[in-house]
Amino acid sequence: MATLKDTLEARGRAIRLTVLEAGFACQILSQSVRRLGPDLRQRWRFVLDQFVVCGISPLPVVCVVGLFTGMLLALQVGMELAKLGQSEAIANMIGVILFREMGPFMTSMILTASVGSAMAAEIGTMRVSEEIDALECMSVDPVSFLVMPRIVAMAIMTPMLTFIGCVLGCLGGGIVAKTQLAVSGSVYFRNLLTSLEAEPDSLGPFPEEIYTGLIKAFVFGILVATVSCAAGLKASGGAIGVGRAVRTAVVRCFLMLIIIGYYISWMFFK
Amino acid sequence: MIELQDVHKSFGDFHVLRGVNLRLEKGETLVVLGRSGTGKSVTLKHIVGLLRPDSGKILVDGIDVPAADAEQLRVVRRQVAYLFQTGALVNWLSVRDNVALPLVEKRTLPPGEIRERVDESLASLGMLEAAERMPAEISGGMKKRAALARVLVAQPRAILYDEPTAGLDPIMARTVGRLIRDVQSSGERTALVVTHDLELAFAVATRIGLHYEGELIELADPEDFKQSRHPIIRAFLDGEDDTAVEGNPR
Repeated sequence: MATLKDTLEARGRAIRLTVLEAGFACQILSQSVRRLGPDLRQRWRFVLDQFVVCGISPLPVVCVVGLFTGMLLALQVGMELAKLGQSEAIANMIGVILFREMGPFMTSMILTASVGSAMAAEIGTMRVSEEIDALECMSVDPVSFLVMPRIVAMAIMTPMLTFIGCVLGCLGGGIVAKTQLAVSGSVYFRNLLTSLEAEPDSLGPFPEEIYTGLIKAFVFGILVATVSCAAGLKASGGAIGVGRAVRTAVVRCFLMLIIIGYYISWMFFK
Repeated sequence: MIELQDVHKSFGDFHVLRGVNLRLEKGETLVVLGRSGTGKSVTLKHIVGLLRPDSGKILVDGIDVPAADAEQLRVVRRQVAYLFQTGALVNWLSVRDNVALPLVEKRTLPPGEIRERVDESLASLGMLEAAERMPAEISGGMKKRAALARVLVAQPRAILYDEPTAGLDPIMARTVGRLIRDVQSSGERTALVVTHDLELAFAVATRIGLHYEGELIELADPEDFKQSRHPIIRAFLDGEDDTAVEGNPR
């Protein structure tokens, strides 16, 4: 039977490993940022490939999930607002909730499941089949060659996909508002645009909600790519090791998205 | 040129290298024989700095590899190339792009010269026709040849061959042996081949050693090695189970 000492030792080892791996993820992120200047021009082809992987491939899923999230949100919130006789306020709520919170979170979850897991598997397979060792033997920096293009692509594509998902979510909300809540389309979209109008002290043409959402999406994109690539680079032990790397990447991304998402919101809206 | 002095390495409780000593002179082809899992590949990985020893020295042209900084390691890896057992081609690059990779990454040659050298390297191994194919579309033997082309294109002074004939049919294994002989024929290039393929070993070696229980137990000319009276070597050459040999610790 495991003694208290064994249990504490095991916990201690797990915490130490988590801290070390978090440090490794920070290290590859900082290396990638440092390699941007000297290496990005040489790696533009890989970055373009990653734009397709991170932006074009998940687009249909993001569109469908965005549309139905808006519809679902409108249905649930709209029914409650109808009881208070405030059905027309549905547009204001949909716009704010989607752009500020749901959009970046939902898009990043989709990207974690579809792109992040694939990154961890791909790089993990390269690690266990000695391809990364071979790169090192040729003095090819694996971070510059494999990680940096993925981080750049995710940092750019996640905000774009988030915006598209949010727009479709608003459209889905409009469909439900018109068909289920008897709110006319013109009222819905007028209210939506009013809710997303820039305040006089806003930094640009859009309100804070949109900036917050896009900044969140940018940070989430970097986070998903970094955590997934770090898990892949640390893979060992054949196919089981690759499976473990994928699971680690997905679980850590989900946890980090929710925690960091909270703190970004706290920073903007405290 | 390459020297290992009393190199030890453990993975957890498993003591893989127990004081490996080795000296490799310019132009020679040293073959290290040994059963699977005896630490032959681990020895090679130490030479190019992929692994760090627990103790001992590894010198490549006077550079202490475990203590080398990034720039020194780059110098070592430019001089010493590693041919991996599986070829380890980057699977999302074509054969041509794989072969060009070391030159492209060096960033010192114009694209025209890179193309010329890549074509030359591929042609010398009969791989020019498969240049545009992806690694997943070619056979194991072709992967090995493409990987050898990638090694040769960088014009290294020494090549480490990790089980170059593993997983190949006898005809392809002989072809790979012939390729290694051709590569070594100039006498300018040093080679360290680890294998358990006796036919390959005697076809290419200028010296042969046996890796056993984490140590190199004999280094001799191929003829002397063949005539060795050492019981472990005799058991290996005769394909017998060495656990029955007197004095075997296992």
